[in-house]
Amino acid sequence: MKFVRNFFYLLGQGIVGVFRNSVMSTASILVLVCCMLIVGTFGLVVKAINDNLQRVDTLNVIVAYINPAATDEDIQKMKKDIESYSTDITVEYVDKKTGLERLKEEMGSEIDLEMYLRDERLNPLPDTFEINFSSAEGAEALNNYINNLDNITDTRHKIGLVEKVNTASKGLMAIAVILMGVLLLVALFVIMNTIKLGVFARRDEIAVMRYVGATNTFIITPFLIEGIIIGTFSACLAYGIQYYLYTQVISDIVRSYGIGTIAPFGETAFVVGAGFLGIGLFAGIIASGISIKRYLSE
Amino acid sequence: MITFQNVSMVYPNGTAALRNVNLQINDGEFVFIVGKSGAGKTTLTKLLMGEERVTGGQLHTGKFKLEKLSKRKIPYLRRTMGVVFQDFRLFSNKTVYENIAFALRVIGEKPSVIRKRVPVFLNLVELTDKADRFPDELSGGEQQRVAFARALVNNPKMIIADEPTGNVDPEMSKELMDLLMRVNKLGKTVIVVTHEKDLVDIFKKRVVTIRDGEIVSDRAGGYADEIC
Ligand SMILES: Nc1ncnc2c1ncn2[C@@H]1O[C@H](COP(=O)(O)OP(=O)(O)OP(=O)(O)O)[C@@H](O)[C@H]1O
Ligand SMILES: [Mg+2]
Repeated sequence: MKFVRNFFYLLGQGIVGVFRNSVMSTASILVLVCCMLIVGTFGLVVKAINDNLQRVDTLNVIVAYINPAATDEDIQKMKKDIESYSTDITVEYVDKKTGLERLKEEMGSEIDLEMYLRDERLNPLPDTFEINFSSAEGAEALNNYINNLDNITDTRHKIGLVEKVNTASKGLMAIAVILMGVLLLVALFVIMNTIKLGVFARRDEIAVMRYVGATNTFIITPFLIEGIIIGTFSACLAYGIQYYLYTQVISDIVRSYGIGTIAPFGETAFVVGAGFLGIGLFAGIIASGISIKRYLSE
Repeated sequence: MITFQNVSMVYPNGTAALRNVNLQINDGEFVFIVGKSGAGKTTLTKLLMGEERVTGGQLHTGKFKLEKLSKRKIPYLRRTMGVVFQDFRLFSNKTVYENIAFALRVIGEKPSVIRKRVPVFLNLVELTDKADRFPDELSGGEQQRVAFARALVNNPKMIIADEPTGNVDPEMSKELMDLLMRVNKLGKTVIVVTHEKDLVDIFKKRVVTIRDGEIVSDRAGGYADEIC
């Protein structure tokens, strides 16, 4: 009961503290919000890239060109051979006519392919297998295996691209982490100064509190609460802005440029919220803890 | 009961403020501490409050053994004593009422108890009508009375006052001393550091004289021969 009573009194004192120093509190919140938004935005963009990577199936495809001299039997046998290589691959036979039709669809009116379609013998495309695989791991070996089959003249694939995009998104994430580190330091510094100013302004009060028998906990708690309020409020604000950025801005860019699809915000909402709250509480508690400690060890 | 046993106190800069002090103060006693400036009177009160530590000997007040009291326990030591200073040390941003109530908030007292006790002590120091004023709207004597009320409100065993009348006029000094006397009659130990020879002579209480960090006299019905 005593604890609860003290807690509410000290909670009130903490709230008073936030408003007593509203300029510095606002500065703290702004820096923290920026820090959270940068981490959040980078994280969400990287996630969107990865999501799309997995969805874009052309990345997980090997196209194998079949020797024009191969017979239907050869082709049937080869298809079985490739299918038996692994359980998580699918093999589709695409004859050169289908291939040309698909090409026409892709190209639209850019090139006139009518002439080739009219006369089968003019079709320059080879018959192909399209082999879909689910994981990039081992894709290289699969490619070698197919390439070495008789009656396969060549293969095309984008196995390397997956890795490149992965490297790029790791790079993006690294930049985000560094930016976040720097901003978090700035945020810590600003909050520390906010609370130090508060402690400094109240140093006489703190001295008197000691004379009447206030414990360290009693003295520290309002400052901790001040830090927690700043951190929590920043997290809420950043969450709101992030929601807007994601659903309006990022999604719009992705959609209007046809870069790919984007997952609904709800899918990551919890992670974003928890992450922001974590950053906010971490910064708030650490900063206020450090600022007040010096005054208590006297 | 307070006992000083061969207590010495040397400040970090090497100043020996107290030397081999032996003193016993019983519960309910009234003691004046007198002596020239720099004699070590304030140091003695700081030791009692746990603000400074003895560098030699033993100092006990009630169940607290101050020579080895952990920092964490000091707040609990302070709750057994009310302290009053020459410069009042009130919360300048709190009203008279809040200043007094604060001593109760710190110990987590119920709001209903706070509402009951604060008016009693406001009345004791005759400041009921000024409860909502801030310290800088009060005279020195009134501020010191607020400090007295705050020192008394959580019912401590003893009152330690370091030159409580240093910043008030002679008439108010007498009134404040009278107040301490009344408090003493309620059974509380009262320790008063003072320079006011006249008052010490009037009240005929125990007088401990300190010179250069040593107790040079300790008289019961006393008058002070070495003040200022
Ligand atoms: N924090 C300190 N550091 C070093 N020396 C100190 C400190 N405080 C007091 N002293 C020295 O200790 C001695 C005793 O000081 P103290 O304040 O106890 O005297 P006092 O009797 O209260 O004097 P006054 O009547 O002027 O208040 C003095 O020589 C003083 O200079
Ligand atoms: Mg002094």
